[in-house]
Parts: sequence; structure tokens; C-alpha cells
Amino acid sequence: MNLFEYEGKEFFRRFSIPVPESVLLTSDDSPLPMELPFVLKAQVLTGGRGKAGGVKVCRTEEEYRQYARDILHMQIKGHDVHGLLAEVLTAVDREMYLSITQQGVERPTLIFSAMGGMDIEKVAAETPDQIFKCEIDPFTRLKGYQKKQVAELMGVDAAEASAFLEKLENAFFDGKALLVEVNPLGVKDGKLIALDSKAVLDDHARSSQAYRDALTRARASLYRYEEPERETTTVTYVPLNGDVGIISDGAGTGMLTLDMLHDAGLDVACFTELGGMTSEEVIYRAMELTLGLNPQIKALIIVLIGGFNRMDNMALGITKYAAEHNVTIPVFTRMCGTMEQEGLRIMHEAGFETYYDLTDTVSKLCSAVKES
Amino acid sequence: MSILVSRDSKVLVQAITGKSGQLQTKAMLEAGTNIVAGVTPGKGGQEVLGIPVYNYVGEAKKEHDFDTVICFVPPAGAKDSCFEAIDAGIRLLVLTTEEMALSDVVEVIAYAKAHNTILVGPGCAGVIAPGICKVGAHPVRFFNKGRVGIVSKSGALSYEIGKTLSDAGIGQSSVVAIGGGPLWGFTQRDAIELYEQDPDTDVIVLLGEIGGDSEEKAAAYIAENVKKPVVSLIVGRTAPKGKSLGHAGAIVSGNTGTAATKIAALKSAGVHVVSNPTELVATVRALLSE
Repeated sequence: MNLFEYEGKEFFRRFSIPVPESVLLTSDDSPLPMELPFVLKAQVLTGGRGKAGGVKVCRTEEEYRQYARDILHMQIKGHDVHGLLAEVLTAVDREMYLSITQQGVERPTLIFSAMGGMDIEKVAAETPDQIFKCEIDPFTRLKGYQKKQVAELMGVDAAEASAFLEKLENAFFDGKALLVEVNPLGVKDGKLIALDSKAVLDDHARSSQAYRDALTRARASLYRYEEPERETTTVTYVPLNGDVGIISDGAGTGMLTLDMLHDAGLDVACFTELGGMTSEEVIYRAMELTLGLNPQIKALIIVLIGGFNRMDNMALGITKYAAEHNVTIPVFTRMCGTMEQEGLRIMHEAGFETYYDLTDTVSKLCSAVKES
Repeated sequence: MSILVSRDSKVLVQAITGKSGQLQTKAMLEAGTNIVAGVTPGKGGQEVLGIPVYNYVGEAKKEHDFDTVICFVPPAGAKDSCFEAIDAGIRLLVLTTEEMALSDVVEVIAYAKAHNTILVGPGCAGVIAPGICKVGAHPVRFFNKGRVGIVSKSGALSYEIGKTLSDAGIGQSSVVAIGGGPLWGFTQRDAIELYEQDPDTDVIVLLGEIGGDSEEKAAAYIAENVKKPVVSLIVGRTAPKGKSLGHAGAIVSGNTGTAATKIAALKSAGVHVVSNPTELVATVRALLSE
């Protein structure tokens, strides 16, 4: 779950990370939220809002009225703005960058740069010597020497730096985050303060499920915000642009089938993969997503090879869907593996043909589509 | 010989009384695996298919000798079960559990490494040595004993290619599926290292997919250390950018993790890169007869 800045700041406060005082606004005609001057910031799930005009300092009530209207109705990089964060104007001596991430790395990694307020990927590409990285052992967390090293780079007192780093690593580890990023991290009279917040929480962390649910519920008050519908099964559904549907019981075989169809000159309508759960209901759901959302589909290939997955359950789900819906397009099912005999029996009794070899199944489908 | 498992492997099954645990235990016994004990907290004293069940791994350890554990524990309890298994001093842990919190995965990987336990997974189908035994979910009938060593992220893809090779009369020494990522204990590189040393493997098959850089790391290792021929199939070549295709690890962001960069790295390491199962069979067959 990708957090808005106001959510990230609230998340930071839970771990006692110092952040400026702020008020969330969800309309453009709210009364003055705090004493002037203050900063008004777009609440949007993308970066680069400063450059896009989504961050303004309000010095008069007229400026506030104007900026509130301008920013709230903006789109930034294709993302709607869903709120405004009015925040106390904090003058700092320097701006730096600090994050802890588990994204795209093997172990939790702390990243620090004295160059704050900029796109860190740009800093890393152009001036890699300005980036400090160290891995964090999940059992010891940041060690004394690591904190000392970062404190020196920050140019602040070791005790102040250590305290801030410990709070941030608590937010990362105990808050079950995949990323906590402070950019910019401000220094004022030797004290550190998180001027911005970015956080991504792990959707698979059960211990923080209630917290994520509460955040989601609170989003209902945002401006023009609709929570994207969350798939309740383990199915992955990726819409594409073509007219052949793929359902597979494995990501690897699904991607292989996608490549084989493309190589044969066909365009794929969607990629649907069952994921870790493989019950009758899950394959039914996969059929519903694939056929229900893609009326243009000319043919469907179902690629099943049971290990954990039982073919009898698959056959029950497929035939149930077909019995309840009018499926008129050709369906090419490759079915083999665990409980195969029972699965094939159910399929054949319901009038479905099945295949054994994947290459053969793909070529049969190609001929059928090219003839039609 | 085979990699990771052998005729001498003695196996304990965690969550043996669960639906998946029972079904897979039955299949492993049929494949010749020597399963000595099972664990499910609160079910101690029961038996599953004649295998004694204990409440704790430590209790089983007092009565049985085992060096390998396969874990079917659901995500909420999987981390602690892994710690328990590793604390018993085992050599190999196959962690099949999917959808664990990433912080749990990080801890399990670090703990296994610190205690010299090989961790295959998480979210993996495990390993089969055809004709010998299996510690995982591979359906036995798709595999035949032979001289090709396979490593795959995807379980289903490893079954698919094993089956395709078997149908073409080509057997396998071992087949390992390490999981869809984005983090792994045992990696593609590690499997290739073991296959290079395995006297019963003549050709290595690397089944990779888009996302991450583990194929590039494997390529770098191959270039420096591997003399045996390696054949590779990278799936997801024609997938759209920025979308995760069922495996958390299979996502292309920016210019990293693309099929093109992986294929280029593998080719420059001397790997035979193929684009479909038919080509894979033909290439492996030619290399075996050299």
C-alpha cells in the first residue's frame, strides 16, 4: 500500500519521527487552517509535484484561496490530486535525503545523501559518489558504527542522528514497510525534521492489516477518491490489448504461453494467473475476469499443470462457469498433473476437449483463430 | 547423484496434518522420499500415512534423525516454523509457503544463512531427483531419470519443461524450482554451481523470467566458472512494462529486468538462449550427443 504524504506523516508520528504540524483539507473552500504563512501541498500518489506546481507557500488569505482551488483540481503525471496538506512553514539550514528500502534490493538498505529535495535516482545516476548505502541486518538493526557513519555524513550530533535513525528503522521494521523515505530531511539548528514522507506498506504483513484497513477507510473523506477494487483471491489479472485470453495456474507457464502466442502473431487480451490459491472458486473467478471483462475475446487458452493444484478442482470451476454462462468461443484447455484423470473425466463429460502438450495446444488455438 | 537431495535424505514435514501437507506427503512417499516424521502443533501423537506427528521439531529430533525439512505452514506462522526447523540443525529447508510478509522472508533468509542451512524458497515447488526422491510438489510422472539439471523460478514452468523433455525421451538429474521472488534463499546461481560440480549432470537448463537481476548474476557466474553447456529460456519477453505478471519478482521497471538485458548477458556468457520448448528440446538433445 502506497501512502499519501498525510498518511505517511501520521505513520511517522506513530514512531515519534519529528514532522511539522499539518492539517489535511479535502475541499477548496475550507476556512484558513492555520496561521499564515504556511505551505499548501497536493496529496497525490506520485512524485514530482513541486515541479508541477503542486506545492505553494501561502502568505495571504487570497493566495491561500487561489492556490487551494488551483492545486486541488490538478492532475499530476496523470494522477488526480485528492486533498491538500496545509503545513507550518519550516525554515531549515540544509535539506538532505534519507530512506530505508526493501524494494529492488536483497536486504533492507539505508540510503543517505547530503543532496536532498531532488530525485534520488537522478542523484544516483549523475553523482553516485553523493550516495551512501548500507545494508541493515534485520536482527541487530543499524549497528553503532553505521549510525556514527551516517551522523558524520549528516553533519549533526551523533546522539541526534542516532535517535532519528532508530525511529526511522522502527517505522520500517515494526511498521512493516517496504519503503520509508524522507526527502527532504531538514536540519534546523542541529535538529532533524522530516519535511516530506513517503511510505509503502507491505500488503502481506498480517500484523499491520488492521492499520492499513483503517487508513483505507479514512480515505473515503478525500476529494474524488475511489479505492481501487481489491481482488480478494490470489488471482493476478493483467488486461492487454488483443483478442486471445490466457488463464494459467503458474506465472512462468502463463508468461511462456504469452510469448508463444505473440511469436505466432496473435495478440493477447489478458493475462490471468491463479496464484497461491487454486480452488474451484479461484479458477471460476479467473474465468469471470477473463471472459466477463473482455467481450472481444475470440479464443481462450487455459494452461494447467498440477503440482499443488488439483485438476479435479480446476475442472469443476471451469465447467461450472461454462454451465452458468453462455461460452460460445473455443476454449483450449491443457490439463495434466495432480488428480488429472478425475479432472479430464469432468471436462469430457461437460463436452470440453482437452490437450496434453502445450506446443500442440497453442498451435491448435492459432489455427482456429486464423481460420475464423 | 543429484543436487540438494539424495537417496540418503531424511525428511521432516511441517504442517503434515494440513490438506496440502497430507496430499504432498503421500506424493513424496510414492516418489521414494524417506519421510521420518511430521510436525503440527497440537497434533502430537497422531499419525499421517504411518508417519508419526509431533508438536515441535525438537521433540521429533529426540526420536528421529533428519537433515531436511519441507514446510507447508501458512504465511502467518511460517517464519517461526522456519526458525524452529533451522534451530534443529538441518542442512536443507524447502519453504513452499507463498504470500509471506517480506520482512519475515528477509529474517528467514538471514537466519538460514547464519546457520548454514540451505533455504530453497519461499513460495517454491522444491526439488525432485527423478527416480530417487523429491522434496516438493513436482508431479513424479512428468520426470525421468537422466543427465539434464534444471533450475527454474516458477514451479509450473519447471514441470512444463521437465515434461516436455521427458516426452522427448530426455531425462533429468534434478529439477529445482526456487520460487517467484522477489527474494530467494537458494538462487539460480547457487543451483548452477551445484550442477557444475554434479558428476551426473551433463547439460544445465536455466529457466528464467523477466524482473530483477538474478539471471544477470547467474550469467556472470557462468562466464567465470561454468564449463558445462547451459541452455536458457527466459519467459515474459513480450510482457508489458511495469506490470507484475503473477510473480512479485516478475516486473520490468525502467530499463532493468527486461528480457533483452537478460538474454544479452546470458549470450555473452556463452549460454544457448532458446525461445520456446521445441527449441529447448532440440538444443539440449544436440548438446547431450556432443
